[in-house]
Amino acid sequence: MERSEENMNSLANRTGNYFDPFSGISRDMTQAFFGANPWAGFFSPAGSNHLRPAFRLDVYEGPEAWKVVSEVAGVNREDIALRYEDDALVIELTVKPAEGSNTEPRKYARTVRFDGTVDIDKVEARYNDGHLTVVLPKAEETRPREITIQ
Amino acid sequence: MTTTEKQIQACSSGNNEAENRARRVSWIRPQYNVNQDAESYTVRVYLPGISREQTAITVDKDTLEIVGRRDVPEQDSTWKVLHREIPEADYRLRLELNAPVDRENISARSENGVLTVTLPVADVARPRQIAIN
Repeated sequence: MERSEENMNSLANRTGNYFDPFSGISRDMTQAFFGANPWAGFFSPAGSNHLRPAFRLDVYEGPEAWKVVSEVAGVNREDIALRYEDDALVIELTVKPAEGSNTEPRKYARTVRFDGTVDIDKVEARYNDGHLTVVLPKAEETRPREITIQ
Repeated sequence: MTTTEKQIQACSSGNNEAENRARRVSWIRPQYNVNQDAESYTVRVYLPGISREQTAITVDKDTLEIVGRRDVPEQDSTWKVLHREIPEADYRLRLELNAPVDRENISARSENGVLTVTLPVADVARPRQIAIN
């Protein structure tokens, strides 16, 4: 019994990796629903429901900027929120259910971190045909520069 | 974009044909859903990044075909790929029209990367009221 409990903890930690506050809850729920089955946390919705598949994205780097392209078909411009916080770009979408459906709107978010400093005031974004493109210019200190030999 | 236009564009930009041909072999089936009401069938196809000009809709015999061609990727490589998830293949969806549809009046619109095709139910298949004499 003690051994299976240990397995469960490690599984719950694994599935709850992205969302620490909930790992405890999912562990409790898997125990409540599935007893001591060590695989419960792995396959059950209770253990994985906070890890929804997100949208796809590409990240490119140029000499003077980074570029992030993401696929967000069917989302209105006003339902896309872009933030730059903790040195990372956060793209958050609110996907509204189809008309006449009673389900709650769902939120999806992805975070992109860059190896260098972004010039936040010059970040530009455009949205076309379901493709969101964000261009983040590098701050002066991050750009490659030539050094003159004296 | 029609095939000829695509070919012209490929020739003028000096792309090698082999690459273009390779792009055409693989297709991805886009996500889609179909709804039906008394008047019509509505097909919603998710084609992120595909503009109206890059979309082709054809009806041939009993098949509705929707093709979305991606932009030929920029040849200048100022952008180095750090992380890639978006596939490069073009989209193709083929649906068999196994219901009576009024082919002359199929309409389509595109918004935020979602193509909505409306196929009106053919007159013969519509429920009709029969007057009692």
